[in-house]
Amino acid sequence: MRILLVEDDHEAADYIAKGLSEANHVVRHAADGNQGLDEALEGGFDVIIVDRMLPKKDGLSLVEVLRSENDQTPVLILSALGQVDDRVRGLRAGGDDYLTKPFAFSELLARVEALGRRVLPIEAATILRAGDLEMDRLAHKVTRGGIELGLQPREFKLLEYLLKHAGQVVTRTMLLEAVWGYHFDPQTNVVDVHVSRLRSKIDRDFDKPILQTVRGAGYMIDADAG
Amino acid sequence: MLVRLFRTTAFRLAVLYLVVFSLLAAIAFLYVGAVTREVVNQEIDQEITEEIATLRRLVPDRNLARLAYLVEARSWRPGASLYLITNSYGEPLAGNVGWVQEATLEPDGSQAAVVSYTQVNPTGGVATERSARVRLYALGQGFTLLIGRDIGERDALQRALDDALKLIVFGLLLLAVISWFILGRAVLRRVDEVAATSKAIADGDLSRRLPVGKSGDEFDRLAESLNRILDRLLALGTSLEEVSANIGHDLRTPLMRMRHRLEKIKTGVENDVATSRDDVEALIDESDQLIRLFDSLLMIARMQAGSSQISLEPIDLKVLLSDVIELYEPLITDHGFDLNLALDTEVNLHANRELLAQLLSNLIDNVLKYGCPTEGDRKPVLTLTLSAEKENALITVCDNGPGIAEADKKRVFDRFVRLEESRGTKPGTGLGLSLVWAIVAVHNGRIELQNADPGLRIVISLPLLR
Repeated sequence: MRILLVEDDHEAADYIAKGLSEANHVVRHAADGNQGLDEALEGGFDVIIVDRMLPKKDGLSLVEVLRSENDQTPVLILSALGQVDDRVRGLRAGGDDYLTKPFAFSELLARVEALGRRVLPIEAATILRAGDLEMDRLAHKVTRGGIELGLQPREFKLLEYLLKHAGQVVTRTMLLEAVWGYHFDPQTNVVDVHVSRLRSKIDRDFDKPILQTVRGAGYMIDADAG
Repeated sequence: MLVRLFRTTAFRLAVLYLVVFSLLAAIAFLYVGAVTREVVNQEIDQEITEEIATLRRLVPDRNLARLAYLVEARSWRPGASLYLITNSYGEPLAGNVGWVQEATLEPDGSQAAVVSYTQVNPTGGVATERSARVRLYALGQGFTLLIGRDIGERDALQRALDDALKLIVFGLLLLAVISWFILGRAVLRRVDEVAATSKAIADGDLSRRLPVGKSGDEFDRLAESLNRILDRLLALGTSLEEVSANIGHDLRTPLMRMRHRLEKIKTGVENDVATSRDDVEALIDESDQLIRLFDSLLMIARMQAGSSQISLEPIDLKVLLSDVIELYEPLITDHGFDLNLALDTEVNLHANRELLAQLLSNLIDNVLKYGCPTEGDRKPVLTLTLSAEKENALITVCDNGPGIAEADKKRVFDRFVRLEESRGTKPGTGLGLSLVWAIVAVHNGRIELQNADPGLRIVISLPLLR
């Protein structure tokens, strides 16, 4: 993906850019808000990462201008301000996702890739597939290898989110946000337990596991499994 | 010192009182004087009118000789009024008035005037000039009768009043100066006391307190308020020391662990790549833990700074509690706990959704970590109850574990406090309950720790939506 990174801290920018390049993305770096806005308006990026605190023009203003120019490029906001209200403000300014510093790089990568993926067709799709697992979103039915799996509503939502992001890493925080709608820090592996229950339902009795654990990052549904 | 005295409120007050009282006293005296004068005048007029009436009665035909005779007779009685009958040339014919100042009196008795006169002195010699209030009556053929009364007494009274007024004003002035001086100094002395103590406190001696007298006046009240503030500052200072001491251990420990691991990596356990990777991952976990710890501290500090920073919205507690329980249910079950829920009441209030979720999360975490029964073979139970009182919503989290000792109950809400039994054995920042306490405070609620016998019951009450 082509990614624009607007970040004034050079060490942080190097670290992020390097990590993203190693994940086979092309990164362009702007060191202040004005430069970043110019680059963003030129277009051609799949995802824009914007730091909230920037010289010359702060991140939120940049996003607001971008949106007022009808540019809908997905934006991920990075910020040291981590309270819920800060997050809300960031999203209201036009950001699509919000990550507080310090963050795990895997978290950043997972979210960036989730944003960059053109999700639209997936949003509309009524049938989601991964390998021989099939989810009918309208009928609320999940089958694997033709056998119907009995999932609880929450497990269904969990699986749905993972399937929507099939092939991408989904972090625990992303799951907590998307499936439960909460941003607090649970201190324990609350999400993990839900995932392992789901796994026991969709993978245990089958040969090829679809739900993978990505060490240090989160989970992923292998789209090509089975 | 004198200049300072001028600048005091006592001085201003003294001047104010002086001016006000002087004004009032002057008004009072002037009023009394005027009224007195008026009363005396009316009395005199009344007497004159009566005299004339009597004389008319006694001399209905206006016989001049008879009139003169009567007037003479009356003139020499004690306490007599003043009489004078003159002919058309102004020569005195009868009466006790020797000389009268020329006055433009209408000889019809309608007007009264104040004139100077002298009385006829029966023993001869010079008579003193006095004042009288008189009326003039025409007797026909140019003869006039003057009747009046001396008003010297009235004037004497007037002068006495004036003197009294001057005396009082002077006395007030003197009193004002003295009281200003005394009061001013007394006030300045107290102010100096406060200033000296404040300076000592500002210089660092937080144990000093302002002297409080027994009078309960505004100075005492001020001193008491300030002392309370100082108590709180001292408590904050003490808690800061405690926190520093705790931080000393609780933050340094993970930092030391991280440093050791980094050193280990540095001295190169190169042949064992897997170990190295474990070390690195453990390092990342430690630093995540530290970040979490700092975030918690930051959140606590932010909430203690003021609840205006937190946004509140109407929340259905039943929904929130159900959500969080649903999130934790697998974990609770995996830990072997039974779950008892009593969430039947719908309760709405103004709250911050994320903070409440965090609060519950911390409490449930605590139950899972510390609420497991240690003796006997009780099955561990976690009970969550939602109910509403008149004005408050009540959230109760209860376990049947070892509970908390009475002595520890106050401490557990302090930052970084971990009770001895769990230190070093279970992971934790020691901030869980501090955060819970701060969240409850920000919602203007209350939290109470009770013995569930066995176990611990935590009762949180939050004010309801109005």
